[in-house]
Amino acid sequence: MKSQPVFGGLCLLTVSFMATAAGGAHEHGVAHLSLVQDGRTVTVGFESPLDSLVGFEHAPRTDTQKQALQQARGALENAAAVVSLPAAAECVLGSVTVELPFGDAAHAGHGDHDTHADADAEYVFECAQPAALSSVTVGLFKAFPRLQRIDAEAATAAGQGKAVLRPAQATWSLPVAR
Amino acid sequence: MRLPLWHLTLASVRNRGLATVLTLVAIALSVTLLLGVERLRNDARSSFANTLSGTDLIVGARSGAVQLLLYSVFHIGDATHDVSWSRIDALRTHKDVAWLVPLSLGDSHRGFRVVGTTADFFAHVQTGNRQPLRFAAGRAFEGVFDAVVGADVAARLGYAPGAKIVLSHGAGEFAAAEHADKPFTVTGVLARTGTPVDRSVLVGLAAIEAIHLDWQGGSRIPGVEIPAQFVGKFDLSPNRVTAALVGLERRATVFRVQREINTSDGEPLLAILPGVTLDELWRVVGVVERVLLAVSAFVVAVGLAGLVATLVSSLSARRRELAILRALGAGPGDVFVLLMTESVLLAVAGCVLGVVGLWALSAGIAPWLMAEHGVQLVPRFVDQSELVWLAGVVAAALLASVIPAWRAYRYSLADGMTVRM
Repeated sequence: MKSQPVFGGLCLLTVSFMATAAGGAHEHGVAHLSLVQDGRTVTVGFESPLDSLVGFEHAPRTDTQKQALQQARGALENAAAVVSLPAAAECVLGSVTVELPFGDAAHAGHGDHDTHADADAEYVFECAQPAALSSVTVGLFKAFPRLQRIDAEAATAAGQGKAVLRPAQATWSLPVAR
Repeated sequence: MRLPLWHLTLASVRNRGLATVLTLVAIALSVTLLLGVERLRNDARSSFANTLSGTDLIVGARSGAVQLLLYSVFHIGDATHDVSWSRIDALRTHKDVAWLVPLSLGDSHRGFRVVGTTADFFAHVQTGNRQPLRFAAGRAFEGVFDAVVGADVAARLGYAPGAKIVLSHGAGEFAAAEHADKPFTVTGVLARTGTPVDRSVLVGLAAIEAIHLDWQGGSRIPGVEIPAQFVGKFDLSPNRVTAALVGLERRATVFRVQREINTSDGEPLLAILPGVTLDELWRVVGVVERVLLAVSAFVVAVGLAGLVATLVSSLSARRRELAILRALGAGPGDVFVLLMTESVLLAVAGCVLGVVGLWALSAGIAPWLMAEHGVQLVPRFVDQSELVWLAGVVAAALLASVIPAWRAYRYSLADGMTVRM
């Protein structure tokens, strides 16, 4: 039982390049969100300790835990519920990638330390009017009540910026062109 | 025929000149403080935000993100470590990196920072809304002992292309250790940008190596002196630099490249997104800003309390005046309105004076702020958000003046002409 979390961690270390905000520290209750706009492509990356989403960071032991993991995957795959972009930007979802540890039985049995496990997700949008990306509303707090804070970082044509989102303040104002 | 009430107001204000003027000064000063704090905060933020644009990442030795941003871009504080040139050079050839401008700090010229860099600096560093650097005179450095100076350096020290300058070791105004044996020639003066670039002396990386050839560990090696004409015989390729500004081929890779640098093996490096780190800095500074704002709001409250105190204490001296007004046909309501008008008039006048005072003050200190702290304070009268603050001050005055007005109203009901004075 001790072995699996590690593998999840190691496994994610390799894939985490794809979809993460810069913040590397693993802090329960705190997730990272990144948004990059390059031309018409808007990529939103989400990274969170698994604990903040499902309440545990080991391989699921009970049916309840397995179900929680399944539900988390379902919630993360529903891009519209995770982030909603302004209608004026005319964005169309291109792809969704969700990486949860312990999802794949083949991973079991590797590694040898207890460690943290992270969940990653990446959403790629194509936006016809990227200049209209003024704010993003995050639905993650509703889907994951254990989530207390999201450190959100953005890099757009208008500039770079950082915001701290909380359940009461889930709308993120993106950098505006000066 | 009834005289208009405001006529009485003016007359009664004039009658108590000194107290009125002092109250007015107190309100004006408090308004100047309140708006000044708010304005300084906004202008400082936009100055900082305008300092660098078009740079995707800043790379330096692993320390704090805010620290790296402050020393590399704003010339505030010093680097705790530098970075080996081989690492920076390797980054230059990274497939996602479009351009890289190295920065080597640590020397100064008469209080201005010397920045060792490459000619790419002039091609890629942008300020404000993607404005490239321009030369007001001359051209970029080419030879080892060429230097380009910022607008403030040129203006303050009277430099033009052709001037000879001597760099100092360290960052002190009176740095004792001078590189006097290796003078530089100014080849260019940059146009004003309103950023720390204006207060920089820019030289090539080879120049930084050359002036330190006969130095070791921050001081001159005794007995060793390599004259300027012989430095060409030495290898002047840099060993270490302080930081580097990086532009990427595609913005989409910024978080991935950042993570790649931050988790790379070997010499610990830190890559930051300047705009993100600036927001982190504002979050920290925000607490202090709110405290300052609260303090200045309290000062305004003190100013208004002074206004009320003046009016209340004047009331007993004015009982006869009020009684006469009543006898002449003024109703108690007229007396109430008279007092209210007086205090609102004072508050409005205080606000106007405060705004004028702020304008004069900001016009006075703007050049100094720019030169010393790189904050561009734009002297202006009021903008929309400041009008809201001023309206708040007047509204507070209106509310506070109910106290003296109510007392006057009561007096005017209770008192007849029988007051003994």
